[in-house]
Amino acid sequence: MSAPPESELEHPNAVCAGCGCLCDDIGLRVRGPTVAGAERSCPTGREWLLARGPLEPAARVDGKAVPVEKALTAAEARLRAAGASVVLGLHELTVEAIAEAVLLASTLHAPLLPWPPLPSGLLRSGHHAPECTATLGEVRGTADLVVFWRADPVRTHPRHLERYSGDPKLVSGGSRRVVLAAADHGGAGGTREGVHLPLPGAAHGAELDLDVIRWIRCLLEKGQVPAGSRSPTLNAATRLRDELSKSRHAHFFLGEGCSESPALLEELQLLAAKIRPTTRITVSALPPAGNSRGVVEALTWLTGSPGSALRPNWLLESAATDLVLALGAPPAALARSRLGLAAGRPRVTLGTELDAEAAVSIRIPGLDPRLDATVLRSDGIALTLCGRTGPRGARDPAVDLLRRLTRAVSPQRAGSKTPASLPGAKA
Amino acid sequence: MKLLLAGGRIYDPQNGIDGVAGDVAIDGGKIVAPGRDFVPDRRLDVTGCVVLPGGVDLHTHIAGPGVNRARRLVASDPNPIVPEAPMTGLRYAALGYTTAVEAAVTPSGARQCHFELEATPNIDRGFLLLLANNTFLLELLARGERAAARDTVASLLQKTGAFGVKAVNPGGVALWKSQAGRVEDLDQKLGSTSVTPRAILELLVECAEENRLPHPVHIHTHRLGEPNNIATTIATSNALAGRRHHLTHVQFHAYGSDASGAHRSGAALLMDHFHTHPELTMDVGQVMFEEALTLSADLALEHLLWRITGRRYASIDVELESGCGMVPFRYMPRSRLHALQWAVGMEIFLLCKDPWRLALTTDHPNGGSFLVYPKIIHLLMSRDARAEALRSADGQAIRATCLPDLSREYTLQEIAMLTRAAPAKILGLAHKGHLGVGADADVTVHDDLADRERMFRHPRHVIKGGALVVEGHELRESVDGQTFRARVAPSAERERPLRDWFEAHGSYSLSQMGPAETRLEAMLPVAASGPARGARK
Repeated sequence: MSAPPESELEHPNAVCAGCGCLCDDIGLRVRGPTVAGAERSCPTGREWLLARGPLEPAARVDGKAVPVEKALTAAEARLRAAGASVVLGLHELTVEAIAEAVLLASTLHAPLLPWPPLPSGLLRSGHHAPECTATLGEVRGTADLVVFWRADPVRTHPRHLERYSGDPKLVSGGSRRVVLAAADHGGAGGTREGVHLPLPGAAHGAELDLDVIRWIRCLLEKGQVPAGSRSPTLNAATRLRDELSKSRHAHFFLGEGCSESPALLEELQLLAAKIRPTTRITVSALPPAGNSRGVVEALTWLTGSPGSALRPNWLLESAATDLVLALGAPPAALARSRLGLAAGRPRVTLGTELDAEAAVSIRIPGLDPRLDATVLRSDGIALTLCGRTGPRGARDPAVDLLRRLTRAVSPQRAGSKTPASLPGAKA
Repeated sequence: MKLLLAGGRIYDPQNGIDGVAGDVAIDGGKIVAPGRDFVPDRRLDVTGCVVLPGGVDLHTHIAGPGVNRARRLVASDPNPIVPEAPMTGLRYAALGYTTAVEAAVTPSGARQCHFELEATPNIDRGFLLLLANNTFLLELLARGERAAARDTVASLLQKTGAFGVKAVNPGGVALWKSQAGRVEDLDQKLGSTSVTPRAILELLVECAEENRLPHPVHIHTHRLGEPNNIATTIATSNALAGRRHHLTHVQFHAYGSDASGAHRSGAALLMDHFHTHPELTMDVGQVMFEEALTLSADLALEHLLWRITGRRYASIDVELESGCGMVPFRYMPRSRLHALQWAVGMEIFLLCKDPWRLALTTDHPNGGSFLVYPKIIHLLMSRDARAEALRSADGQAIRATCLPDLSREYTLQEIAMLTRAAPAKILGLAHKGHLGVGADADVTVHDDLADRERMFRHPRHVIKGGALVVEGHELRESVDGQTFRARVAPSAERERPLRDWFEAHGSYSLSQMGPAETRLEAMLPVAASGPARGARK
């Protein structure tokens, strides 16, 4: 019996969106409609990549499998009939599809809400406190001190250390890079690569973390801290101050939990800005999975702002809202929003999984590495999902699906040119 | 559509037409001869109106990751000075501007920049690539590998689809990032290397010549805003004497100093130099007493501005290439320094004997929004309007200039040079800035009003690429513009040094840099006319 045919190495430099690192060196093997192998990927990435299904959309209406064309017609009818729609999601759409989603929301006069909501720290950054940050290439090339603050990159972003922050590739020729894992527990992933810097317990984390940062500033600016400072936090601050004093460029990566505490980010940024002429500190968050940065950037250049002044929950629960259009919303985020969505609002979804509870659901490939479409890394570097060195990838079907919905609800009706006020929405 | 603009008074400096009544014929996006054979689909009677080529903004900040970050910084302002891309295109069209060049984008930000430019309707556009603090180029210079450095510049231009080369504080941004001080002098060695700012500038000019870039190297000199920086500005130009170079937002670089070290005007010195150096072109970077937003790769400057103002601030160190800092700002007439800056810009305009080499800019949004262009035009055309403005400005600052003695009033033809013909010529865009046969059909029609600000703020008609986007003072249509890029075609072999370096130090694959091939192919490649200068060594 002959062995099954080997899958082809179709995209030698594909991008993995499994954790937010956006490794762009994945050797992607494709067999038929599925991803069969992913060379150089980490366990997290492999799990994500191998779960990619067919690129061709599939659809359900009222829970029953139907041809996509029929689902589109049903979606168009729902959109036309809706009095007040809300468009939410976007994180699992490519930049090209986000532009179409903006156009659709604009045509529907519907609020457009990134879902899950973007971190408030990101939206406030630069307003209440300065922002000093660096792209990952700058960190890789110049940071001789990297601090993971309440983060465990080995667990959450397995290749981060290899690609950006651990392996010293300093352009100055130096080979010394100190990696500190600032956390309240030993044995975390970060400590396997670096030095564990004990922080006070997470239960009181936010306030005590702020103390540590404030005291570092006192130590750097005045050489001492106020009397009565507590020892665990003072120890951490002193240790960090010592490392910062030896460093030419220190970069802080904040863990996921820190995004809930804008005060910590702001205190760190303020420290960075104030001491910039003598000590170079830059700060960023460890990236979430998906295309959050693409959402932020595309919404900003297309609408002027990435966020809405409206509170999503209020909108979802409002009696006036009679249709929820979920576009590229991560399934887990949709599940979390069930409270708001369960109040009898019909839902139309375009997402990476079919939504059994939606009136109309169309499965799209999202951020599939076989697509010739754009995703933005957490620091804003734009990448083509399928890479640029192999055969050309597939066009993102979400672009055409969204464009068709826009035409259907446009006052000019189907077949007419889409409104010219948002010309960036072209593919 | 075939369109005839009939009976207007045409100002077209490129073709030597100065207020002559005539017709402008448009067919298929181009200007054609308005002869008997031309049968228009539509005829607009513009008798008594002023007809000009579409405006050309040769230095603005409207796209790219830095600009987009700035949008978020001012998003909560009632009328953000950096609007979203679609609104930017609408505002330019409403002002009669149909071409704009984004003046500072890093190689790693090029792709996003193209997305944003494509989302900006009604203007043709391109961008300048930030290269004077690129770590790899500085390394090559330090090793004396000039040929490899030139190859790298060509590769980066080609990959990113850039239109030209921009130098911001050459070497100074890299120095600031490595905390090794600041650049005071063109011959200062950068850190522990033998590389000097002079060597960086010479290299970039060589690259522009060898690759026949349509626009000369676009230089933001050292010591922006400092007293007596005029010496640095003139020294920089002298370092490139005899070779085409462009000094940008020169108002910010044209200060002398008095005995106490305070700022004085250096405009007269600058213009004396300008008039004796025909290879030099400039744009002004006029400041106005309005809301602004400082946005620059000059990171040290932005940090200083934040310390002075304490306002919102963001600073991003970018991929061993450059950086971007930003601080919202407001110029106040009663501030001595701000009033001096305003007056120095005016002096530069009014002392200029050769408007063919000077362009009107505000370095949007640094000196103010491009929306203030009509106000600047009004000031240049009216001595009385300037006198009125002078009354509200700080007297001590004004006494440090010769502005009150300048009685010149610009003519419409000279305004057409400053805002249309000269910037197009400086950019090397032969199809822009004029109304001759074969030019792009970018035309503005204005009511001839004594209030020049009103006249230029609300054009009667604006035609972009043959489409009537403003008609009867109202926006009617929005059209896609075209992106132009430098025509460079480096071989794969020439890309090798960059590829090897990227392999070792890049945080992403070099193949990912810039827009997709299909997008590059859709752009309009432009090269300088005439043969390339400079032999390969």
